[in-house]
Amino acid sequence: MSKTHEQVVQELDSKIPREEVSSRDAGQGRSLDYVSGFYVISHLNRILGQSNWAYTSDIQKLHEGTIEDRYGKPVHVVHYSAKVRLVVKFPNGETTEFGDYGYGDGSDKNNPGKAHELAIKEAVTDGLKRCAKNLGNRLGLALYEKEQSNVEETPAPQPQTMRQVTVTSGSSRETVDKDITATARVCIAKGRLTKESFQALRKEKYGVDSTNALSDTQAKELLIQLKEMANG
Amino acid sequence: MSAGLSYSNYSLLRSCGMKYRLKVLENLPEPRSVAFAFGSAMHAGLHTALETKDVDEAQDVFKAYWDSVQEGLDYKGERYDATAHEQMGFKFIANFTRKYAKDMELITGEKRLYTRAYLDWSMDGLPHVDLEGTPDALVRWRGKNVLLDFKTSAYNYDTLKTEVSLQLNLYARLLEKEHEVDEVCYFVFNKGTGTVQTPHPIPYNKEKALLMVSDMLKYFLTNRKLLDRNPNACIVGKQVCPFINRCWGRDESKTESTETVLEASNESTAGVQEAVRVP
Repeated sequence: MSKTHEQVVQELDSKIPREEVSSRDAGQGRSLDYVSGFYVISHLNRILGQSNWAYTSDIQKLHEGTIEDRYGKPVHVVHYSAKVRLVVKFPNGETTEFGDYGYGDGSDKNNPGKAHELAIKEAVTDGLKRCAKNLGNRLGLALYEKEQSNVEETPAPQPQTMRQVTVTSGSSRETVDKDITATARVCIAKGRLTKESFQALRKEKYGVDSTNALSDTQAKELLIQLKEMANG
Repeated sequence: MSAGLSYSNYSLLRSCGMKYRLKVLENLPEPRSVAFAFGSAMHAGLHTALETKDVDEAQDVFKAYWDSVQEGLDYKGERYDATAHEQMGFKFIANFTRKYAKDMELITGEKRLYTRAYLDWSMDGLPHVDLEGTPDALVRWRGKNVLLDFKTSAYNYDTLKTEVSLQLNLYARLLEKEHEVDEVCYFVFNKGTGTVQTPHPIPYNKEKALLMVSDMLKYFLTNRKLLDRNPNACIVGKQVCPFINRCWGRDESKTESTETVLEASNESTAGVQEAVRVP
């Protein structure tokens, strides 16, 4: 079912989930948040529809040259700017245009053409993202606010530790045996067991010489014990 | 307290006498770093790879170890999160197992080794220094006994780094009492590119190793009581020394005198195997 104008505007104004936001080093101790080109294009398609937006670009080479890498070998570098024009059609028939500039740089040791390719694509994508942000928070405008009040924070996932992981009834016996082997090795690596003491433990407690001779219940019990030991 | 002088303790002393004192002599705990946790998990996985040549088993061990060290790990300021590290580790271990481990025969794995270096001279009458180290692996590879040391790094290592590596030479000295060592080699897992750097083993030179260890001992004997702060080591890149507050008087814990701390550290150690006379 096609969306109404209000629905589209509401979606464009909605918050960006924090997990969609990446960070990069901007030098001098600063970091810059951004969303990827894939994110912007996929949301333009999802919110507006593939046939309701389009863009053009005009590229300009800013600089071309070579620098030396840390081993003194030459690296071909290029810098481009792209003037991008984004045209958007809304459900109520209105059309809007945005224009902005993007920047990209590329480098390659062996293939100068590759450097140009990387720089051009980066410049065009950057320009497109800068145009798209004007459509609303969801397409990147939220990142221009210092407080980022329109970026939706998601609760941090609890780190998964061995204490919190239990052997579920759905785990196959093969998986449990593999986990026992892996966890025993972790205990050995951490100095909490030796190969001999693990074999002795298994023999003393369960009367068996190999893990696959354990019953399903015994295997799960041994695995929990080993995980406690590895985590302790 | 450490049983002997290891490469890592020597590096600490060179970097900052006060950090050496707090960590090695006073045994103050240091929060675990993501890099250390990842390196430990990688070591566990790589050893399994050398023993079993099985990618799945090696990756299982890496993942089990990695999961077990997540609690309390602080990723603030880290370039990669837990999941990215995990994916990197899987990739490294798969590449290492398929490309290299399958052709290697493990001679000895991670085992703490000791030796005692008796001194013909000493600044203060110290008769000997106990050396220790835990080489990562000695393997039979391409017809030679090769000492391997695994590193995770943001950059590839230059071959020169292997040639002048005190760490590799110390480990080879410790190993050669029981095993022949033909070559030494760093295996570098490049976190920046996600690739295993092509290894470049170089021949082990016993005379060079002896000189390097001798220099190490001389430095240790000359500087072990100085224990001065080095402000240049407080913050290196993004790394902040965990003792910075204690060191610069912001922590009010009692600090014992240097002499008391040094005396306590001169106790004899267990497990020392053999003497190495140092000129």
